[in-house]
Amino acid sequence: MSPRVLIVDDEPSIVTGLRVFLEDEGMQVGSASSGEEAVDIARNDCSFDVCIMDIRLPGMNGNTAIRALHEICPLLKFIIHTGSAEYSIPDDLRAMGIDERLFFAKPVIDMTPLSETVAALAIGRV
Amino acid sequence: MSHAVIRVDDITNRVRIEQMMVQTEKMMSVGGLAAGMAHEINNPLSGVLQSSQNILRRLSPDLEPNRRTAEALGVDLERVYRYLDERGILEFVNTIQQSASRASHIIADMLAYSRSTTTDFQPARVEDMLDTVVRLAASDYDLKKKYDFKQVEIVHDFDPELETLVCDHTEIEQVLLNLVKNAAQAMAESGTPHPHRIILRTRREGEYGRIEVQDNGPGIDKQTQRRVFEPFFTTKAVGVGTGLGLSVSYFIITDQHKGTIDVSSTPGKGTCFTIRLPLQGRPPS
Repeated sequence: MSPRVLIVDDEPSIVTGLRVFLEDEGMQVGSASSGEEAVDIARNDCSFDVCIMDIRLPGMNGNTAIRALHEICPLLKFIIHTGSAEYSIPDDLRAMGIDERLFFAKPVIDMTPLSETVAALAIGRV
Repeated sequence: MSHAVIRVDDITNRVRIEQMMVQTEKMMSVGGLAAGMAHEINNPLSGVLQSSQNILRRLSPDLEPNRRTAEALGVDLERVYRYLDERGILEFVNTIQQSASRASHIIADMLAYSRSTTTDFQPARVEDMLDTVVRLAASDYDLKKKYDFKQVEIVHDFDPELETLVCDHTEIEQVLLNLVKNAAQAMAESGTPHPHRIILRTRREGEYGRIEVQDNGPGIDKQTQRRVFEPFFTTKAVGVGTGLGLSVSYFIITDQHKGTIDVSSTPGKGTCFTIRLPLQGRPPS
């Protein structure tokens, strides 16, 4: 089964860039431009394996969105993708297993490691 | 009434110090602005970098989805690829990628640079600090407008005995960057014959580390040497220098780090600024 990925980012060019790369790797990709939209999607569809989450978002921020999505889809795995230099992973997210291996700072110069991490997460290898 | 007291206070210094504080505040807010800007620039840079990588991948005859689409359209992908290669187009995309990745490194430096608002003493590698400073100087826009930093030969003369210093590395980098920029500007503006050279020298002196920034520029005469660390003293044209660079450096080195900074110079031969810092971040007792 090909991995199903949900990208949450308010910057369309970043969504497209990631989508194209992951689709070329044979993955199925959905996207949301805010945390609220991601929550709406998850309420109807819990079939995503991995969510790539931006942190600075309009409305609900990425940390809050991860908590909400985790409530709705407990099996969903997360990757954090942010351009904020001051970001540090909150303790409750760490308790969910999100650590530095799942953190990618923007700009990602080569998307290969990110894509490999998505693939590994989807089969429970991280 | 037989006596009157007339008190005259010279407030020149107080006004100067107040002005210096205002200026420092201004510089701090510029640092904050830089941090916010850097974050905003990382997003469009992501767009540039990801798109370039996707272009290269989608041109590659090795990727299965590319071959399928090419076949459906009756296009020979190998030949298209050879064309793009021979016309240098693949190289252009590589250049876009490399340029954006360079920009992202500059931004990472800027962020590291503007982050320290409180003094944060940590062991820092002296060589790393000097490398950062040279990289920042090479990408400094103000410097670039007048002068190509690549024209300056940077000579490293490092003492292996001096590895780390306990200091606030961003502050020390600020001081060193200021010295390097001053040297480059002085050599450029005075028409010093090439090669322009900056020697970065480190030495361990017991419980102190010494860092020198030496140039072969026009030098500074005795009278000016005595005043270089004074706030608002500048030999640069109006609007070019605030006259604060070296006085802020003086404050960082002597007050914050309990070290010393001084200058020696021979007009016509060059100038050397010498910084001494306690290895452990405080003077040995």
